[in-house]
Amino acid sequence: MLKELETDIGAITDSAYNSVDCLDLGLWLGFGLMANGAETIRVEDSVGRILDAYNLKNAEVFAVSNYIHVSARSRSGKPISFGKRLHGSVSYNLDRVDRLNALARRITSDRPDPVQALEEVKTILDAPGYAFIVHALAVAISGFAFSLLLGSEIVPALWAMTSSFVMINILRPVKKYYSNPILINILGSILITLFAWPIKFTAYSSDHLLMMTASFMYFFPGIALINSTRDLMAGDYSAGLAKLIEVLLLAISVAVGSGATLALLSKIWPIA
Amino acid sequence: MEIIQSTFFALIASFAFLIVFEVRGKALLIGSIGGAISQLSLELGQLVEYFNFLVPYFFAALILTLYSEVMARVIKKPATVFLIGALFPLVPGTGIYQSMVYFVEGQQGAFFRELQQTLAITGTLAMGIMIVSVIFRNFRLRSFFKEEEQN
Repeated sequence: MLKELETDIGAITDSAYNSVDCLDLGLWLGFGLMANGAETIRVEDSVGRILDAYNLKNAEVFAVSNYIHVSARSRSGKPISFGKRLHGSVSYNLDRVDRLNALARRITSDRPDPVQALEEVKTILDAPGYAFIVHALAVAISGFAFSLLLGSEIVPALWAMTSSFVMINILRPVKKYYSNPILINILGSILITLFAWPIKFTAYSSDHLLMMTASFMYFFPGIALINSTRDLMAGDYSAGLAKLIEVLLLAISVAVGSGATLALLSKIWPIA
Repeated sequence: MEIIQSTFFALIASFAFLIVFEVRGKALLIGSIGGAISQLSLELGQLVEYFNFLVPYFFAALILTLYSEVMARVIKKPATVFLIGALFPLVPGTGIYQSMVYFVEGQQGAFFRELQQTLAITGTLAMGIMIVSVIFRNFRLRSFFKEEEQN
């Protein structure tokens, strides 16, 4: 047993860098991936490769959808471990996932100074996204294009575009104070249902279903569904099932918001 | 003509969605093309009349995942970046919404029929994605082909 430990310690000294710094780098990079919408299996794989690249012995990484834990032995052979919990919900920023993934590849091949690499991780995490107006226009255009894709006329498509644009602008201040995605989905679906209702009284009433569906696509938890599928397929059932539950809850929240509003509207403003 | 039109709309819709998810640069373009490819493969599959309604979705899911996994390896980016853009045109949004409308209206029979179809499409898409992803994850195709060449 003692001999095994000595062999381990011998191997640890192979790297010139402080093992705490290496572990800290792995923790932050993994946390960044997790917080921006990467699959759990990608988080564990990337961090595991980084810790291996720095020759940390007995390195282990464990991640679930909102927590990451890394551990290894220090140069002196003492066990060290760090954990970081994600408070609030995941913000889906695939550009950050992509850049962190590329950095993880570079760290694995070049083994840079972990302190400098950690600075790069923090720079990526602090990098601003698209301006809000670009985001809002993208939501509006997606509503427009999906309406046309589903087969609606141009006027309902433009209506869906305007509804989506107004909805995202109303949700903006709400998102600042309440980041709960279920609440956001309920509120968003209420707004879309309210904005789309008047079209029922026009010549385009038959396209009501299509423009509503197109506007709701923004709330579809696509990344969570893909991540859930990929985690399940990789054998990580706890992460995969947790994300599948998230998908179901988000879909149900849209149905609840829209269904309740539809029921109420058909009572107070019935179609003649 | 209709197929070209809907493929173009799928391209625009995927492009907009990828911006919502903060995708940038080359990935934005390649992801949008993925959306167009998945819509095109779905429409072409639906032209074959004797197919069950799920078969075109299954083939479209296989093609979009294959495209995403290949692109992920070619330009060294996570496959999710391409999968998400390509998946959106296939999402049975109308079915989800229509089932909810039936539920609100108290039409139990229509609600269960619509929900069943929607869940079947979602399951088929997930299955298509899973099959190709499993192949790419578990078999190192490049090393397989290299070994074949050496033999």
